[in-house]
Amino acid sequence: MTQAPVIRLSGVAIKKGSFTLLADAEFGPGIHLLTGRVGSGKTTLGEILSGIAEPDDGNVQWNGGRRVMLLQDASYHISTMTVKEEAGSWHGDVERTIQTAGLAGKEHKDLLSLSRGEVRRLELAAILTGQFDLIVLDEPCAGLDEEARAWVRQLINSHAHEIIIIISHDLMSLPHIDQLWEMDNGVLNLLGTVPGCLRSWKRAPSLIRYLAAMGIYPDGLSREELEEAVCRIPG
Amino acid sequence: MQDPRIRLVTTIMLSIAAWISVPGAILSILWWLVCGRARTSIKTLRSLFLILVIPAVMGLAAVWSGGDGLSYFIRISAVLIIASWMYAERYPGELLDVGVWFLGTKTGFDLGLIGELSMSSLDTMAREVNRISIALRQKGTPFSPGIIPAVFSGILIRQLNLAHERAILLTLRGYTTGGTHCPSFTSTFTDWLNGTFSCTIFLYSLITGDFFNISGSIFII
Repeated sequence: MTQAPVIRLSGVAIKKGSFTLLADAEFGPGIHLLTGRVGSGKTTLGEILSGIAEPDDGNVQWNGGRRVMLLQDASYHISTMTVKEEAGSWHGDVERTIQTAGLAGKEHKDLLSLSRGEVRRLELAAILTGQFDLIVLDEPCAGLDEEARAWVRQLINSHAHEIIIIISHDLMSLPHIDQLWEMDNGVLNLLGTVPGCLRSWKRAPSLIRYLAAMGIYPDGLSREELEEAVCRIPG
Repeated sequence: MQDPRIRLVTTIMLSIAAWISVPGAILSILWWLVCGRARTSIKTLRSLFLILVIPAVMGLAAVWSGGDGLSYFIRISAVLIIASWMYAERYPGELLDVGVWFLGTKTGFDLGLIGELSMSSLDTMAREVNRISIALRQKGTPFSPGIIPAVFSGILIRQLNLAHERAILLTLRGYTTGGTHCPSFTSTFTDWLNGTFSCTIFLYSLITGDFFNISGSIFII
């Protein structure tokens, strides 16, 4: 039986000019949401986790596997010309990737003729159906329509056995979240397990604050859970 | 070197000096080591190799065809080193500063703006190439000639999109031609001294080189 992957950050620090990022954390299998203000260091932390940036201090330790993928702009991953070739270039199940991306029948289409949303779906499908232990998704729903966002949520929800870290400001497009993390002026804080931590979330987005003012707490941060909470608003 | 005007003149002087004679090329490299504090925009040995591989091949071809390939390689390498120094020293907005100072708020502004937009596109491309190499490494795709069309098309399309967005932005801001800009420069004594050295190297290279010696006839003595 293979060991569940765990990534541990011990005394991690990175300095960029006057900004310092500090992180002590442990990420296990499940879906983690990393939130925080613009410029608080979320993307830098994502780069450290995915091994792109080296911390100036501290260390990043792995227990079990270490196959990492950071989803950036989807077009950066493209290395072929057609949908089928691109699905094959991820070394996974080509048919499954194309089916998952909803691109069946477009196998021989030129990638340049696809919409940005379709390219993003293809790359996301390849990543989430691939063999990665840690997947860092930086704003995975950026540039997608509502239908595609629902598809992303559904796809992520079915992959909770890996470590998935979502960096996002977009509260209305999230899948089910297990743990909530916040970057506060460069310091990483674990707020806790969702939904328990929602009651003590000081910098919660306006919708959560509004619901809390009405005495309503959602059962989670997914779109469906938030909609259900909104339906509980009296009157 | 803080003053971009002196830096521009220095770059032109050293590049010409390096190109017209081997002593000029060697002195330009020495200038870069001492006065330029060996600053370069070439960050890795791999980048250095990629930059020098074409002049090296051309030099070898020149040797093979009976020419002085070594001289060519030394001179072109010196020119590239000086260019990398200039690129490393630059700061955003300096081309607009120099353009307006030199040619005024119409032609100078336009040329400066074109230069700034081009430089920032180069920065964007460099960042993109870095990001793409990371993405492909994580994906497990080794670099091969087969991926060049797809990668290059992606970069080209993103650059065209960026240019389109900038054009819209400039139009929305009412840009037609020229503009208002008040350049300011900081010139230190060291800047002037290093600039003067570069002019001396240029003159020395001009005298020792065969620039005025065409078809065996000496034009100017």
